Order: sequence, then C-alpha cells, then structure tokens
Amino acid sequence: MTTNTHKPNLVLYLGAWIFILAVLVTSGAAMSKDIITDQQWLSDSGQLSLRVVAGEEIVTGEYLTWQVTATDSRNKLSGAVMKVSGGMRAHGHGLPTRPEITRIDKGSFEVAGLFFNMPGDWFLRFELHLPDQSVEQVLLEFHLKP
Amino acid sequence: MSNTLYLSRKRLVGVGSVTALLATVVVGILGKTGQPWPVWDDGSIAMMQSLSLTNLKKQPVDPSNAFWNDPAAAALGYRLFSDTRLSADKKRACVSCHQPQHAFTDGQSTATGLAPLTRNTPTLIGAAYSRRYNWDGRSDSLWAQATGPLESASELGISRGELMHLLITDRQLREEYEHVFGPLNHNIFQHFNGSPCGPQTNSSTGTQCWQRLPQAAKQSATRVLVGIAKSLAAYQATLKPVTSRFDHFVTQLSQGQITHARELMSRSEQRGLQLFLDIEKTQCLNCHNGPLLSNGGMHDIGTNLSTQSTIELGQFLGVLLLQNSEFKCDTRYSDALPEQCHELRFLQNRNEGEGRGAFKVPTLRNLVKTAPYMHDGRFHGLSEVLDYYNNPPLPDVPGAHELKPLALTDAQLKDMGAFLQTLSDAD
Repeated sequence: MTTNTHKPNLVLYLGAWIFILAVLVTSGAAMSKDIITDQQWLSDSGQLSLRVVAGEEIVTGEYLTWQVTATDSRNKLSGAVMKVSGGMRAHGHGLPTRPEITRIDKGSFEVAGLFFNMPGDWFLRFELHLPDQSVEQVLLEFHLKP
Repeated sequence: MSNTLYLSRKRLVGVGSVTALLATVVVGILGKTGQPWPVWDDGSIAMMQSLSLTNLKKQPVDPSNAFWNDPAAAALGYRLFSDTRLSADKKRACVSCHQPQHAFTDGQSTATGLAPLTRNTPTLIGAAYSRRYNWDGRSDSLWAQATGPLESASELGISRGELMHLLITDRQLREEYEHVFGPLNHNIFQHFNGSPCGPQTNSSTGTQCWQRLPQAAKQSATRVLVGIAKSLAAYQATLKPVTSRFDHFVTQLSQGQITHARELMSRSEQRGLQLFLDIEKTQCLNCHNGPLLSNGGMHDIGTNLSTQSTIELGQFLGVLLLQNSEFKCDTRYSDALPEQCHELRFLQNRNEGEGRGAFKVPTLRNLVKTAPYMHDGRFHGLSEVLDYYNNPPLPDVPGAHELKPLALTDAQLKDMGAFLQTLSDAD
C-alpha cells in the first residue's frame, strides 16, 4: 500500500528534476564557453573530430582566440590546412571579422579574431583541407544570449 | 452561543483583514490608474543590469594615439574643438555640428559644413568605446576620423599647410602644441604662408603647392594635422555618458526598492522596457545591447535606399576607404604596434554586395537629444523610427536586410517610445 502511494511521487520527483536539469542545461550553458569546449564536434563524414579550447567566455563584442585541435581516425592530418567561415542564417550575414588561423602543430590550430557582434543563433564551419585533396567539414552551431 | 458569536466576529475580522490586504495588493499592483505595474523577475533584472551604465567597462585605450589619456592633449583638443580658425571660412569648428546641447549632434537631418553634407551628425558621447568611426566605418580611430572633416572641402576645408601656418603665427598655440607633441621643425616654416596647401584641397593651387613642397615640409605638415586630430580625439575621449533615469531605475530595482523604482519610471515606460528586453518580440537587443545600447557593429536595416532613391554603399564602401586610408592604425602616423590593430588585422573583406547598406549601430543613449535619426536623418521623431522597425520595407531579395516585421500594436509602440525617452544623460 505504502509502496503504491509513493511510486507516483518518485516518478514526479524524477520528472521534475529531469525537467529542471534540462532547463539549466539549455539556458545556462548558452552563455558559457562549455557549450563549445565540452564536446567533440564531428565532421560531416564522421572521420574527423574537433575540440575547442577557448581562453575566455564566449561573449558578444570581444575579439576571441580559440585553440582548435583536430583528430582524424585515419591519421591524415599532417600538412592539413584549416579554414573557417560562418555567420547567422536568420540575419543573412556572415562573420563580422576574418579570423586568422595559425597552425601550431599537427592537427592543432590557433584561431584568432573570432568576433560575435550580436546574440542569437550562430554557426561556424571549419574546413580541414587534407594533403590527399579531400576536405572534411565540421559544423558548430550554438546560441549566444544578450 | 457567545462562543459561536465570538468565532463569527473573529471570522468577520479575518475576512475583513484578508479583503483589506487583497485590496492593498490590488491597489498596489494596479495603482490609482487601474493599470497593472509590470512585474520583474530575476532574469529580466539581470538583463537590464547588463544595459546599465554601472556595468560599463573601463574605457579602452586607443593604442594608435599615444596622447589618448594625456590631459594636456585633451585640454588642447578642447580649445581647438571650438576654434573657428580651423576652417576655411573661419566661421566653423567641430562644435558647429557637434553641439553639447544636442548631445554633440546638431539637430539637423544632415550636417552642413562649407557645403551641404549627406550624413546625420553622430553623437560623440561614448564615442571612445567604438571600434570603427563614420556611419560606414571608414576610420578605425577617433583621431583618424577627425582628419576627415578638417580637410574635407565640404566640411571645414582647412589644409595641412594652413594648419602649419596657424601654429607658426600663433605663438601661444604653438607652445601648447609643442608642449604635447614636441618641437616643430622650424626649418620648414618658410614654406607655409597661409595659403591653402595640401593634398585634399579642392583648388589646383592648393594641390600644386603641396606637390612642390619638400618631403620634410610635407611630413611636418601632415604630423601637425595628425597631432591636432589626436588632441581632438583626447578631448572627445572625455565625453562620457552620465547616468540616466533608466540607470537609476535599474539600481533601485536591483536593491528591491520597488516603490522608488516606480517613482522613476512610469507604467508606460516600464512596459516599453519590457518590450525592449523581449528579444523575440522586438529584436532590439540584437544590436542595441550593452551599457551603451549599441554593439558597435555594422548592420543592414534596409536604409541603403536613400531618400533620393540612390543606393548607398554603406560598410562596403567603408571597408575600401579604410583599407586605402593614409591614417589607419598600421600607418606611420599611428602609435600602435601592428598586432594591436585588431580592426585591420581581422577586417572582413566582403564579397561584392555583402555589407552594402550596412551602417554603424548608434547608441540609444541621449536619443531624445540626437534627433533626427538614421545615417541620413530621414526620421525626425522616435515614432517614425518605431513605425519603420514595426513595418520595415520588404527586401527585394530574401535576406537583403536584417529586419523582420514586429507586429507591435499602437499602444506597444507608444510604450516603447516612452521607454526610449528615459535614456538621456542627467534626466
């Protein structure tokens, strides 16, 4: 009897906690660099992944420098060249700056001069031009709050 | 019985108290007018705090101007700002268009120099925080911007040779100048007799004179133009925004002083603020964010079709002009190291057409004092501006500009207009 009365409560509590966690994850993380840095970003083919290390919080109105490291399951990164493009689809514009990309080491790059001039939904498309002439594309999509 | 009576009385008193409390709450919420006061949650208060002057970052230092924080340079710039000798007709100065009583604008749709101009005069208050100057972003520093109107034949129209002559003939001014920028090369004084002589003059004698000058004289005269522009920039860097009624409201609300906050902003103004903060509904915060209520960027809001039906090039032209400027951050007249020139280093080379129609986002502070509005002053009142944002022109091709219709009611537009009037200094 007691077990029966408590079961719905437990489900409700669990549901509530899952909801609260979901709200926290989707709202709070948008302001933090964690949304970019705490995950691997897979290329369209799934063969390559990127990790981002951001020195500062990802905010609007500041020049940002990121360390971007690529990992390729086929070990094809020697001599790879990285390019970046992006923008805001909803506003029909590209990146407000032209970031400089410097190769640090095999698969490791510094991306300086990233600049997000407004809040909203942004995307960045990193292209890895590999020595065998193939191109891997990695799409980052994220939301910046005001 | 008596017990029942007592309980009834007690109940009656309780009901009365609850009613009175409810009435107080209702009156408190609705106020005497019967309209409810907007209710602010923590998220909204945090958002408005991000717009408050109390969160304004320390003013950045312009690395291309070594005299940026020099009080003597600022004092010299202050005097020169109003000196009509810095114009070809000796009747105009910077202050002619940048009038303090209009928050350093002129109250005109478009400015008038020696000839009618095509741009609305922007405010100088808070200009030190900008990364790019002029409506199309053609300058990357305040001093580089100042060289433009000084030399432009349609603005102040004074040549580098005339500026040099002014310093040669006004000993007190020369001493002030040399105190800040170091001694002038007296050996080249003989080349300057007060006639127009410079690369930007619109007279053939002026440009021929400039071409005949020895290189040392050209460099000295250009250094004088740059020095004067840097002193003007040092003065303009002192023009900082002052707390507005909105800022005081945010402070009171943040401290839980709701009664005091309500004395500072009316229901209508607060409703307008609510709309302003609602990014989904009004999109204002996309561009007008931070304590200066501008992201300092360039955006296309569909105003590139001028009132004369000509197409304006906006940022597209600004980028070309900046790249070819004699006075940008990475030239010999700049005091910056190349790596400090972020605007140039990361300057986006737009494809043909992209950025066309994009103009600098102005601050919303002192909005009441800075009418008319837009880069060409096409709107005389805030209601016209709000109507435009509510019903922007349909783009000729999708994505041609960034605005979307807002579907605000007349009452909401009125509230927005009321809120925007709370943003003036010393209000």
